[in-house]
Amino acid sequence: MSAEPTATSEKTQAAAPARAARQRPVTRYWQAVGAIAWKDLRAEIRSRELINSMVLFTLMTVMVFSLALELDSDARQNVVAGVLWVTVVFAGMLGFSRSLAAEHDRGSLDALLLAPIDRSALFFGKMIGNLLFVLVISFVLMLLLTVMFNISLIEPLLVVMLLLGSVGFTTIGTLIASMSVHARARETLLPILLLPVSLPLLISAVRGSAAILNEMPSEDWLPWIQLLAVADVIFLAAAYSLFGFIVEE
Amino acid sequence: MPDNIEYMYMGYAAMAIIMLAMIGWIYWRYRLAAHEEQLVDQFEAEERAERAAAGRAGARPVPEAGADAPAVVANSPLSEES
Amino acid sequence: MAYPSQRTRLLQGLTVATVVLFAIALYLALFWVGPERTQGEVQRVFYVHLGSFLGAFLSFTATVVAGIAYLRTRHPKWDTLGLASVEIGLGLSAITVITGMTWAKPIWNTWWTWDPRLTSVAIMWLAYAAYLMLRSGIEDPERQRRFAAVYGIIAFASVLFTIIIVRVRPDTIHPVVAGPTQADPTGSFDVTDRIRDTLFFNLFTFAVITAVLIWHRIRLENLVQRVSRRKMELLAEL
Repeated sequence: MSAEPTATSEKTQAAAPARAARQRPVTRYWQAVGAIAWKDLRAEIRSRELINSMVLFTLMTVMVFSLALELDSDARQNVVAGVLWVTVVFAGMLGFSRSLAAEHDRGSLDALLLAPIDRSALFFGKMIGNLLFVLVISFVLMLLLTVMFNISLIEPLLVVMLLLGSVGFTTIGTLIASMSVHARARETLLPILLLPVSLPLLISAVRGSAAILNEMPSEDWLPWIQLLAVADVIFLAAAYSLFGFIVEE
Repeated sequence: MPDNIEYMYMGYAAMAIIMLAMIGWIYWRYRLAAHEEQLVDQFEAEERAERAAAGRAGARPVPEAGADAPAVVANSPLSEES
Repeated sequence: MAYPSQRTRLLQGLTVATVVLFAIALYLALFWVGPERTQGEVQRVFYVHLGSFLGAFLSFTATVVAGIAYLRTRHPKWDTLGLASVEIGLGLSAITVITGMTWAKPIWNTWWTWDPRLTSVAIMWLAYAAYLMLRSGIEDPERQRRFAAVYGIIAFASVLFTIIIVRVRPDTIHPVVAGPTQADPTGSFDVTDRIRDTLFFNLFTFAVITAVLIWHRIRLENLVQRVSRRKMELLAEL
């Protein structure tokens, strides 16, 4: 717990008076965030390109898992948390690279950078768009696995787990995807960069979800939820203070 | 006391190999770069000699060229560094 | 070329001192301290195991410091420090993992197990390997430095994870040296005075080794960059 959180808190303190000096900073900031998220959402509602392919991808992944692992009912109980999270992670990665690559190729990110808004507002706008997308996939997966694996995944605790995991994963995913779009082999670089950093999240989420699904006592899943929450805060703070350095040009 | 001294040897051997690989890799790249720098030095010296010769040869028919050539060499960032 | 001769002499002296220190540390670990009662000779691996992890931890901390300093000052020297510390850290954590494996084989009866501690160290190693991939994937040098600094800071999350995972999740069989020990570690042992002294000497030695290796790696990087710059200039002139 040494250098990283200290640095981010210093950055936040430095940024705070600058923003307070501006007129009505809070509403402006969140308006910008909302506008960017809404822009992505509207484009997606119109084309339905990403969500259709992702739902199909999710369906196929679940089928591949059940065929490859030859799951009987006992085995399903044990691996369902892993199947859930691995599918979310892979589908999410496809989504992040699409969302940022489209922005980069059209050059619309450069146009957004010219707008007089805080760089981090740009980040949170993109991130909320991606988060909605990951949440839709998670929701579809919950229904799908409940039906196909015959295990009820619709539990409030698991929803909390999914929310916390998705927030952390989307934050770090959006941040890293905005770097990897500049690389030569961006499709291969994104998983290489993103997986090691998000594996702590993934492990906590899988272990925690498995404990919840197996109806273990709270001391078996509570530490994982706490770890997820701490990781979310660290990643959000890191993204808030670092995104400006990625997009500056 | 269990007899497992061969694993201790294995562990220390692995450490020695990685450590030596690290040092050797730095050393090898250093040698390579130093060698390259030598080549650059050599090439640069030849280049300068050539230019000086060309400048002296060009000085008789066109006086401006002779005055120009040394100035170019002096302005080049390479000559500043050496 | 540009280095003050004073500093070069300091580095040379430090290098010689490190070699001597390392020889003493090895003597202490291999001969001076007796074999541990329950684990036997293989316990001697532990000094190097912990020492190299300390070195890796210091290296990756240096990467974070270098990343923050680069983003603040934009001086390329910080980027050089970042690159050097990641490479040395990767080497040292490879030593940690491999010595750990040779210890685990007789004690745990397996080379590798998906224990939280071992898993998190593997993740840490992969994260810093990815750092090098990111560097080689970005062509524009200024952007390469900037992204490397950002990723070097983010990747430290995996180091933190390695350190806190055994506190959050005490179902690891990996012994914890510092801090509270969990219920059922496999392969912990009683620390005698000699073991403690040897351990501290090894930790100190590895910290010095890390610093000296990073220093040499920085010199190498400066030389490589100078040569490639001069080559470019020469080509531009032709």
